[in-house]
Amino acid sequence: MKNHVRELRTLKQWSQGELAEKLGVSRQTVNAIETEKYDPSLTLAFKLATLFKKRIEDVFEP
Amino acid sequence: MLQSKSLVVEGKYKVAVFAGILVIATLHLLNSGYRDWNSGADTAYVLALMLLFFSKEKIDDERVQSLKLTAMYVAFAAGWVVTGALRFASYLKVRPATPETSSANDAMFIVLALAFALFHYWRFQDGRSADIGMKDEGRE
Repeated sequence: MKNHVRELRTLKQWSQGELAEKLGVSRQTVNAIETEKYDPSLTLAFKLATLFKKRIEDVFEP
Repeated sequence: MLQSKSLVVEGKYKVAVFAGILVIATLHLLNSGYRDWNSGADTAYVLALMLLFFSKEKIDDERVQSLKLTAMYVAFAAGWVVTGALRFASYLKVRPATPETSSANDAMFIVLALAFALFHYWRFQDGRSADIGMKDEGRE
């Protein structure tokens, strides 16, 4: 699934480590999501959308 | 809570312990022969690998759970093939590397070792890509 996590994170000027800490996951997990190796659960996807103050469909594209 | 905390071991230490178990098990197998290996020592190795594989990671998130499950699926299939091949080689009397029989503990040892190696390899790949990502952005 295509996503805009990397762009949104860069806009916020957060490192992968900082985003991971805010989400309560590891830096490797954030990278796996950004590189589209891993599709997060709905819970984590909502957490990401809330953090970026976006709708979930603005962060993830089906 | 206390129990889950006590099981948390950092990945690098787990890999070191895993390498130690593999070295000791291999030396034991080569030194004492398959009969001694199969007299109960194999159970200890399997238990050690189970503890290592099923203990919590430092950050035990959903990606870790997903990778562990996938590693177990792949290792189970691969382990089934490997133990099947060992038994077949034993049937054909290929010497000297193959044992007469393969026990359930042998199969579990192979499956757990494969699962552990796969899981940590995939985690390493995730981390490695993360480093590249950081360099691209000129951060950290």
